[in-house]
Amino acid sequence: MLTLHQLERNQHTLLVELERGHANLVSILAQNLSQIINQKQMVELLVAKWLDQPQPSLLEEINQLLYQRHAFNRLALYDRDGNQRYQSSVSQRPVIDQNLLDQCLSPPENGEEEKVVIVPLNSSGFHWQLPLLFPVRINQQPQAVMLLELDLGHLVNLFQQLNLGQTGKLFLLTQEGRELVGFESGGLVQGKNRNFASYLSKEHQEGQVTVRNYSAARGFHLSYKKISAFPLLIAVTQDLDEILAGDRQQQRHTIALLSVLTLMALIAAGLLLRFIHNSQRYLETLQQLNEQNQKAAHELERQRQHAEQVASFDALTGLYNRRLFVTLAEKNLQQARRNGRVYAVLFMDLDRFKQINDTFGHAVGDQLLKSVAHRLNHCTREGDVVARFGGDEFVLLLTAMADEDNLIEVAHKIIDDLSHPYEDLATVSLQSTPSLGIAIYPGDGETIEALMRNADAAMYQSKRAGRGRATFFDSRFNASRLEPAARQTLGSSLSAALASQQLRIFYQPVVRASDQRAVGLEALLRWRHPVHGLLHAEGFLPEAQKAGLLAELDQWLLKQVCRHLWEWRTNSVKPLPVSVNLSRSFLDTPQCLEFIRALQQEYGILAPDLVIEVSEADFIQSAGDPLHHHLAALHQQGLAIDLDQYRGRLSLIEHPAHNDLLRRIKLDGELVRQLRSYPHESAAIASALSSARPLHRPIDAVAVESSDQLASLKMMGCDHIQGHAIARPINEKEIINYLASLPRTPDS
Amino acid sequence: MIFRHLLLSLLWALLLWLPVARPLQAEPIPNAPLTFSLVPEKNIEQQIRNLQPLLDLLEQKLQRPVRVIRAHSYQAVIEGLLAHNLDLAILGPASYARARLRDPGIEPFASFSQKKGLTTPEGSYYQSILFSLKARQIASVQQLKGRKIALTDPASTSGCLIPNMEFTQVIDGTPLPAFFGTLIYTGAHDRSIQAVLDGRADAAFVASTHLDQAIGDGKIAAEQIALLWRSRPIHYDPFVFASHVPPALRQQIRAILLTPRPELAALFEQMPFTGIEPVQDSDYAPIHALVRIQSSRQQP
Repeated sequence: MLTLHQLERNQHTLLVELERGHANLVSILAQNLSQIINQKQMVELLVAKWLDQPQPSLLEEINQLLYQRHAFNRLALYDRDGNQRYQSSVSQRPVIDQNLLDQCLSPPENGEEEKVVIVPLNSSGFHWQLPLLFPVRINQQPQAVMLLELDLGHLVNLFQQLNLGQTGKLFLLTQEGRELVGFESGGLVQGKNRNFASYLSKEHQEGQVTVRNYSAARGFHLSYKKISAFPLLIAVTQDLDEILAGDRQQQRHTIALLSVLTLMALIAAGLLLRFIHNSQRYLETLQQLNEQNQKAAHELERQRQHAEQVASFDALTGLYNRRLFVTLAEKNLQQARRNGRVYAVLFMDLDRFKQINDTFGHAVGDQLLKSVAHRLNHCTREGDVVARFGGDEFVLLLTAMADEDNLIEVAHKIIDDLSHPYEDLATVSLQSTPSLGIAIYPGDGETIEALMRNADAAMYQSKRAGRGRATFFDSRFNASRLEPAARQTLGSSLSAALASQQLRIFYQPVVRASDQRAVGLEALLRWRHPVHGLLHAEGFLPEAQKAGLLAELDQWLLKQVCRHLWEWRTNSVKPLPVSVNLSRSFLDTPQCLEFIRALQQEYGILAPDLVIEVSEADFIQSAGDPLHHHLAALHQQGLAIDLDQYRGRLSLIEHPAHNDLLRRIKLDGELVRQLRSYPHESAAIASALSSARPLHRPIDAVAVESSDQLASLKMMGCDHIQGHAIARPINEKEIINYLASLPRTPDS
Repeated sequence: MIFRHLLLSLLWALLLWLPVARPLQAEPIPNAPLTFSLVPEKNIEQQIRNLQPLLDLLEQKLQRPVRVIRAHSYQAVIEGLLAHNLDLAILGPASYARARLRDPGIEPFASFSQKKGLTTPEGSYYQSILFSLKARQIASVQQLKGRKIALTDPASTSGCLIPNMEFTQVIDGTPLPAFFGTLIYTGAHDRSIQAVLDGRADAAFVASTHLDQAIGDGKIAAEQIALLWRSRPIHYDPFVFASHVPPALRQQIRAILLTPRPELAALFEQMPFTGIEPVQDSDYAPIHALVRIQSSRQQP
């Protein structure tokens, strides 16, 4: 009895393990297949362009793209009336049925994200291509239909890597569960037309559901998953006989097999990615000239430049060129607007590339660029867009990442991988490091142009900070990069900006270090400048000060924040306390108290909802000044005062009475930016912290960008954290959703 | 001045990088690349490696880079030729006939000639072979009824066309799917051979040349093999031009490949080839006939 029970339990364990292994497998394969089929996006983009402007060079691009990516063998294009407009190769395939075209042109049904129609294959013979119809949309409206033939050879190569055991089978199914093609015993099998409809759960098509069949003599185990965005499923089956065969030793063997299976699937996924990436290199041509052919060289160089301009690929590295990058990136950003995942532009160049070229010659420089392109492809995923804009300038669009930690990981991987010596160069082995700049959509720019401009600015900052590093875009660079003349005009155009609503407020959450629960927001001033893009306050405040506009800006900021606080409450959203950074110019004026009081009354602001931040420098100098009296008066009204940009100059001994006004101390962001994961570089911050501790106030760390910094700061005893590692600044429209989504506890 | 320049260069080398490994080589005179591919009869990387001396020769004589496209299926090579993404390719006889049916401008012009192997005769012909393992105790075609059979790619001659057309005469015209239990398309000859060895398939249809190579490579022993059927001779794989390739370039490539070259000695030593000889469309007439019948059957 006990043995029976044990056997049953073992079998259960075995099935659970198998379920997990198969769930992993189908999940990885579904992801791969989705990426493969998604290659149609790029084709669609080019086709739409061609329909708009029928240039032959676009058709050439489409052909090259198809051939370079391997997923689809052939393209044919039909207009709404079924007339064939183009085909990449002559075909004997009969005309596509108008019903199918109409089906493809009809709007997507409920739950359908992408429209695909599978062209039925006739029953005789074996088909190594799966013809799929996709709509070609222009301004969201389907205008034509493209037929793309999926190369099943591509799938066989992918599935070859898997060890499915003796009875394991893989299936590509329609959404309804009808078999399109099966894979077993190391090859494709067609024509069995199995139907799995009765085993599929309608509600769980997007999840992983296991269907077991215990009653049948030869029961089997089925796991399946929908291929994201497409009406297709991937399924894996295995006979129960094989799974439950024999004694415990065999059972253990099966578990090991499953582990291997999962591992193999992961390897296969890796291989596939590598494979796809490698295929990008097809445009490699090395154009080097010897001295005897100097004259021919110039002509060829001219031709090369022309070819590069008209093509979409960089001739040297096979990466996308600027033109196609921009088009593809725009397309991706459209998706980003819908899916809420993290998209970012990375600008990258190689440190000291010019010296490498000058010292070792262009041939070596070109080889280096090719190797860099190769490594970049390895660091990124299929969905990412990797381009070379010329010289040593590489630009990447990282797509659909889960969070910003993910982005930081990729940036670090790029730096690590690219910093390894290039042993594989034709003539020399050398070493170089990359400098990276990162701009994240939409906070750092809502258009691809803005993102590229800002990522470029951030890269420039990386270079200045000592090369071989990645820097997140911070709009301060935008202004500091401006020509002095342009910078001066900022001051004079600021009044107009105030009037024409070019100023914006972003709110950055502050969280408790111990449990990351949100405890407050800081209101950050931004200027959406029509020419220079989004500018941070630090970039234009010096000019505002020169123009005598600081007080006016502060008033504007206070008013907007109070209005927002009122709006949140009227929408029944409980606000978090909002900190507002105020300047000495404003706080020194006798009207400041009355101004704030009036706002509080007008908008019904509760005292704890508004926090005044004053910089350490202003605060130290204020002893005996009006500023100090005004702060004391605000404090008495119940408003909290936080000390900002703390560098450790204020100490207990010098300003004892003064300090009672303060609620919290915020470290200067510069100190945090200097913080690396190496302890010896954290001396400045450690000394600031040791000055702050005797003040017995909670300490906030700001500008925290990485999880390394976060961990160090927590270890050093910071109480609150603010920065990209936690949350990026959120715009006025979205902050209300953020607040509404927060879990609340009595102390928050 | 020169001294300063030298010193500067030296400093750079010392400071930043490991020493120069070997001197710069003269670069080839650039020219538009020639795109080449071949049907993936077996592991594509290995096939390309084997052909490397020939690709190097083309590159050197044509003074232009040869870009090799790694195709994932026979069909991908056919579409590449038809879409003019490829200039030059090695096709199988059936894939050639299929491509030619759609574009009469595709021209065969050369083919490797074979050394004698265990199953392949010396010369320009090979055969489709149905084999199993003696250990499985399968001695006749009839014993394979309802069993699992490995085929290659639907566009393969010996691994699909011939079994579907010529072989069916042996089984009284029964279509393959009705006679055998399961037909597995593995995509490549070496995979089919491996499937039989691993017991994933009971028998396989493969090209005699590939079976010979597997024997030569020690993957399978001649005495293990149970030969169940062999086809009539098939002319070996043609090198073909896409229809857009200009006559002058065709002439150049013809001259390079059809003139005996010492540079290719290594290739012929390693591979079961004796040389390259000219071919023409009429050499593939029997295959054209079969493909025409097959494709008319597949029309709805």
